Amino acid sequence: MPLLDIRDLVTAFHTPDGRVPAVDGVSLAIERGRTLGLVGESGCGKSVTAMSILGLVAAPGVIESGKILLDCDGRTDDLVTLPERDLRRVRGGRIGMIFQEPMTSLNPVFTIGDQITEAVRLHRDVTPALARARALEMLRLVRMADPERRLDEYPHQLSGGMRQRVMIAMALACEPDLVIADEPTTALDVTIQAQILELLGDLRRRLGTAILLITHDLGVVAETCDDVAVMYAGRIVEQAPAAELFARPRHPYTIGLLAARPTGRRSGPLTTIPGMVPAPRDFPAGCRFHPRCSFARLPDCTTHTPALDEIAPGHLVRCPFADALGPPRPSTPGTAP
Amino acid sequence: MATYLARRAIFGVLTLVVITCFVYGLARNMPGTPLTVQLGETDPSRRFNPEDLERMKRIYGLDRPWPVGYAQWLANVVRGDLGRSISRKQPVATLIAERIGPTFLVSGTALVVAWLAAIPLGLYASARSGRPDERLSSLVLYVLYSFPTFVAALFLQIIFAVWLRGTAWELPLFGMSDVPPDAPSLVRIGDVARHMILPVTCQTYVSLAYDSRFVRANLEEAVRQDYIRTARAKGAGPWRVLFRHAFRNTLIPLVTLLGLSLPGLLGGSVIIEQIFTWPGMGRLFFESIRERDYPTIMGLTLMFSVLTLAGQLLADILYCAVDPRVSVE
Repeated sequence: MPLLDIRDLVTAFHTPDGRVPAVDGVSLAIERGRTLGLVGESGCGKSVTAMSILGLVAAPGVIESGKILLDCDGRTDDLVTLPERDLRRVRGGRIGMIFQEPMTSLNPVFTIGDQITEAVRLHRDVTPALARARALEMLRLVRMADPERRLDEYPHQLSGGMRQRVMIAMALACEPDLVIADEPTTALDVTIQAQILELLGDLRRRLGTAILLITHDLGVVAETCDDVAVMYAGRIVEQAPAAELFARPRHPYTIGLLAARPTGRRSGPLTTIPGMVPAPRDFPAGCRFHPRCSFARLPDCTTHTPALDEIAPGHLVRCPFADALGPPRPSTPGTAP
Repeated sequence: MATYLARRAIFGVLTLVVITCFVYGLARNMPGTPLTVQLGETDPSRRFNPEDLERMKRIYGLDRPWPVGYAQWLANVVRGDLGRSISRKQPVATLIAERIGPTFLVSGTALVVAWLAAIPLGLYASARSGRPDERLSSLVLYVLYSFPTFVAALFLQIIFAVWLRGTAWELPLFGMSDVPPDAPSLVRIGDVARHMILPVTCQTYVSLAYDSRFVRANLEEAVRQDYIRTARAKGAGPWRVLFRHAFRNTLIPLVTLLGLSLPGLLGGSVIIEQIFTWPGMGRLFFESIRERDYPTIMGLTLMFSVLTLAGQLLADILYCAVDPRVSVE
């Protein structure tokens, strides 16, 4: 049984203009101690998926159907139906969260020490002195320079990278089984990005924490993730072990994303995927990628939603032509396009 | 800090000179003088003859142009002398000292009551935002906010001093005390408290409505911030998020509002003190203008200006206490 098992999650926003299904039937599984990358462009529903897991979808959004099963020492909780009081124990206790904006995600009027200590004391029955000792330990763990002094400093006295280290320390303070990192490095300088990713990977190895890494950056995924799920317009379109996905992408969208990566070798303009990401309220019928798809565009694509088929062990693709797309599979050379 | 305060003090003094000069000029150029206004109310048979009037004008320095008079007033103020009231024949400082207590009693009580009620009301409105009970309470507060105090004062007087006369609910129509000054102190305190109820109510309800809407607006701004999402993701409950994380961040604008209410605290409300004949600063100000009592007008103007500037300075200093990002330097 995986640590977190999301099944057919549907999260929709009920706006005055109608129902907007930001997450539309997403299924994902994360094993203990592994890193799953959830990749997609802005607005594809990846952050809403993360907030759904924590039960923090902001009104007017609601989880309409599906299950979010969290395994805890043999017991399985469905986070969708779990009462708010129990859900609060999950948040910060069993699932830690790291947000994108380290500049604004820390409360400006409390010290670093206060904020980490609060995370500890919300879930552990410890004295203030012990909680503070734990906060200091966490700052050392995230390799914060001069941790004793930082405890009494305010967020504005820290750089962006240091603040993100504080966020990580806070998310890990109660030794959660899972950390959700929503674009943890997007707001940071490239050099700091690398440091933070390295830190996350190191902490995962040392603490055995599973990580759900939400990003739009395939480079980040390639460096850190064991498995990858690609999301487009509220749905998972392809899911595979990272090495498999990068070697043999099968969905036209994934192929497009990989081709659009700056490689540093090619000169000339970057390859792009034509068209725009559709807004959730005007998702096209059928395959949601069909208006932008540069491969097969049969009448079927515009009317019929393709199923997420397992085309190889652990490799799921939502495209009926998957076998004909992408680089050939070495073991089965006969399926080349 | 010291240089900051020194700089603020220098700017403050310059501001005071500009304000007082302007007000002195306006007051002296109003039609009538303290002498002629008094004359208008005097029995015609006992009017001064013109020579006496000229002599008195000289005594009060009213024969010289107003800039000279202002310079004289300013020189006296620098020496610590606010002058003597022309119509009341008493030092202005004594008049202010007599009136400041009653005003502070009403305004201070109203301020404390308003804030004590406004903060929970704002929190409540923010926590229950959009629900029917919150809509109703917000509507009531908005109606109160729009309701003029002088109308409310008259209604309260009719209800509590006229319709309820003779019942246990009767409240005094006006004044500050009805019992002789030699009555036991407990009786006197109770009597003043009864006289205070209506003026305090009038002064409280408008600021209550305004302050609670202010608290709520700032809270709603705060709860949209990213750090609120962080707090919830840590596992904090809704009340903890609202009180500890959101409310603490709204103290910054609240402190400003509090600082700006300082002049009102000692300046009093002209309208309410006039309606309830409360012997406070607001009424003294109103009467001194009617009597063209230049020294009193100027003394009060100076005091209100100093309080306004002090309130702003206080708000700026309190900023640093509630917001670690701000420092006076």
